[in-house]
Amino acid sequence: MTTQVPGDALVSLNAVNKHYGQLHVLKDINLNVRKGEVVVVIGPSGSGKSTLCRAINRLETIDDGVIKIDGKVLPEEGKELAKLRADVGMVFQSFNLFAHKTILENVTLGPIKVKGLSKTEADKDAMALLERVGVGHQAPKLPAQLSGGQQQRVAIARALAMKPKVMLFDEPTSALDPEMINEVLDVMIQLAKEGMTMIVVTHEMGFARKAADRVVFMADGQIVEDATPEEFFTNPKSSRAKDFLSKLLTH
Amino acid sequence: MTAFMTRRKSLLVAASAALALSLSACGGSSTSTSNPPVAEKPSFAADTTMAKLSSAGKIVIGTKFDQPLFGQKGLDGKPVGFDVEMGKLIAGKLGIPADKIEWKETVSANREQFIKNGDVDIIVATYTINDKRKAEVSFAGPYYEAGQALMVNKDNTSITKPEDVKGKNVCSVTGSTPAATIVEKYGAVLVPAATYSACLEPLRNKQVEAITTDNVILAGFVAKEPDAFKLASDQTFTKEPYGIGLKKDDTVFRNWINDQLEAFDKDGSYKKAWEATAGTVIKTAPTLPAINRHSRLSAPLPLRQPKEPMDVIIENLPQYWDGFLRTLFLSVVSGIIALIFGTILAAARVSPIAALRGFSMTYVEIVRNTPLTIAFFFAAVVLPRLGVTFQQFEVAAIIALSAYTSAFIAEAVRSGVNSVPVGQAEAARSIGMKFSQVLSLIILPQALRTVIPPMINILIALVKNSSVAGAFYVLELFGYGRQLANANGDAVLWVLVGVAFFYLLITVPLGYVATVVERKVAIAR
Ligand SMILES: Nc1ncnc2c1ncn2[C@@H]1O[C@H](COP(=O)(O)OP(=O)(O)O)[C@@H](O)[C@H]1O
Ligand SMILES: [Mg+2]
Repeated sequence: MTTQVPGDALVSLNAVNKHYGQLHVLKDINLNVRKGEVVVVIGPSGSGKSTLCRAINRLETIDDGVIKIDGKVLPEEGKELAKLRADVGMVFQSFNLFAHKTILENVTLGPIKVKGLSKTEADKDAMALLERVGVGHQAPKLPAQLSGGQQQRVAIARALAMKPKVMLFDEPTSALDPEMINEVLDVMIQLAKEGMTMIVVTHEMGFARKAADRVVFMADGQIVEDATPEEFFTNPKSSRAKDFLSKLLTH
Repeated sequence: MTAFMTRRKSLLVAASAALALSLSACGGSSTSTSNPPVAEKPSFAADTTMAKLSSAGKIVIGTKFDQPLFGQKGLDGKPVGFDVEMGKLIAGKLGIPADKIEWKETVSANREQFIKNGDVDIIVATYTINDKRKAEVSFAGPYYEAGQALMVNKDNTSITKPEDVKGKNVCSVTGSTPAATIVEKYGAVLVPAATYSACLEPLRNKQVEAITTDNVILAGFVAKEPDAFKLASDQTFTKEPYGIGLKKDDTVFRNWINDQLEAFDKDGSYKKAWEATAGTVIKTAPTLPAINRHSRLSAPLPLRQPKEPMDVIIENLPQYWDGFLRTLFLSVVSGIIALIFGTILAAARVSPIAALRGFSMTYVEIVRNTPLTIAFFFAAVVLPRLGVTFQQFEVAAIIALSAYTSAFIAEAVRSGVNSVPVGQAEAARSIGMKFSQVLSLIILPQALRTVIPPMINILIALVKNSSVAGAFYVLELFGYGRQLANANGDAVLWVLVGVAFFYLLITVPLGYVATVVERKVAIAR
């Protein structure tokens, strides 16, 4: 084991570039996220936030640069990659619960099939997680029978069931009705307090102020600012960030 | 080159067989014909045919020139065989030596005409006695009873009687009486061919286990290739009496020949003639059948009653049912293989490995754009050439059908896979599932619902496509239909109605399942 000095990067991106054809979506991205750190990624639509998240757990390939999780370079494909991916939990904007599986099965599938847990063991863990996110009584239902907020909390539980080292959230509340946003954010804030390392793409400034250690502002595929929430929201340095924040606040 | 060699080889075989025959027939003399005893100046009542022929000192006898062991033209241009021996024996009794016999080739189509025209005096030419012929000529004898038999490969020990062919592939000529008998009475699986010679290759390749027709024809094949084939048994399981044809109502001549036949039996010349000829293959010498002394007036041919149209279906229900089961078998087996292989192809098509994607795409595109008959041709003709031989044609048919159908299944599965939102796969990958797990646990179960209705349509097409197998020697529903249509020319329409009915028996329930599933999926959404 490498010595885990506090401040070591759990997720590190070094000179990462990515193109979609002519479009340069990630431009020379450098980002380090320490263990236990909560980083909020913010930026206008199309700036590459989702692509960044997807690159970190290799749902998208990158053209060049290095991405490391806990010191290990992301492998190309195959078993190794699958193993490393299990260390990185991901929560999607559109929940993506397995439509043909019950809530409980959604959470136990990974532990059983990927980690090889027994069904009883996985069921026990899953029920605990579902209780924790407040949907324990929904366990036997199908995803379509739950509200958006409930589904997203199940999705968080599903990711947590793999005991990931880091959790990625890609606009987890954007698809939700306003009255359901807080129930999801509360779960995330709780998670942050418990020391989970998190990278969260969101425009919820309340969350950023309450839970984030850092705010990273992206525009046109570049990281333009990297600051504490306080610093960023009260005193943004770049004109792009200022511009973006003024538009956001008028909403 | 090879064709030339084979032809040369078979010529050689034929020549040596003829040589062996003539040698055994003449007991070592250098001529190719035997010389049975010739009566010294026999006397006959005036105006009898016997008297005429005897005093003329020559006789014209019709026989076959191409029937090994019975009447086949030898190297010296003279025919040899059991029929020829019978002719010589009779001529001898008339005081006519073998070299004064004029042999005329008769074939099945011209025998009655030759007798009526006086082109021949008698005919000994594997000539089956029947009522139709008796209306035009008279028959002495019978002197031999041929009958249906089975020919198998030399090394075959499993077939010794007709009961042994139940469920086995047997080749015979399309629409012939022996073909009907072996299927209806003994439950063989018929592999029809255009000629008996066309059955030889399938037998050699073991695509069929036996060939069936008259033992005489089969014995001829054995004589040509004694190292390859043998008769399953010397016994026959039907009776075909061979007679000696002569001018109608020449009763005196007929009775005289009958007397001679009995005499040949008594003095052993009948047995000797057999042993020297057909006996080289059919080892068990026949006993002379009971001679038909009295020219009974044969019953008039029963007029065929015009049938009720539906009768053709009712009467042939067992055959329809058999064909139905075979079609069902072909469809079910091919369907299962196609479902499995098609799903694998679809998986390959979305796999992360480029080579697999390429293979799947190429396969599907080629097969989808090729007629089914090509697939059959490939499986039934090309594969055996490449050294892949099948015990049964069914196997080739199943290969062709499942290879063809799997391309369509692959496309249906692929479109089903595409109907599952990408987020499902991404979520599965993000919790660390391998490609195979993503596919089998997440994508395919969800794709299945949308895939089932188009899949059933593909299976319905498969059931109908299985009829192509009929053209490649596999007897299934459509193949039976064709046979029945041939046999019932006056009721073709009803034969086909029956065929259609049995296809519908499979396809309509399938279509119903498709509708139900479609409705269920609609509700689930
Ligand atoms: N699969 C794709 N193919 C081509 N272009 C894409 C693809 N995904 C995203 N893009 C483009 O890349 C840019 C960044 O997208 P994204 O990372 O989704 O931005 P954000 O999440 O910040 O809104 C956008 O211009 C988007 O249109
Ligand atoms: Mg996005």
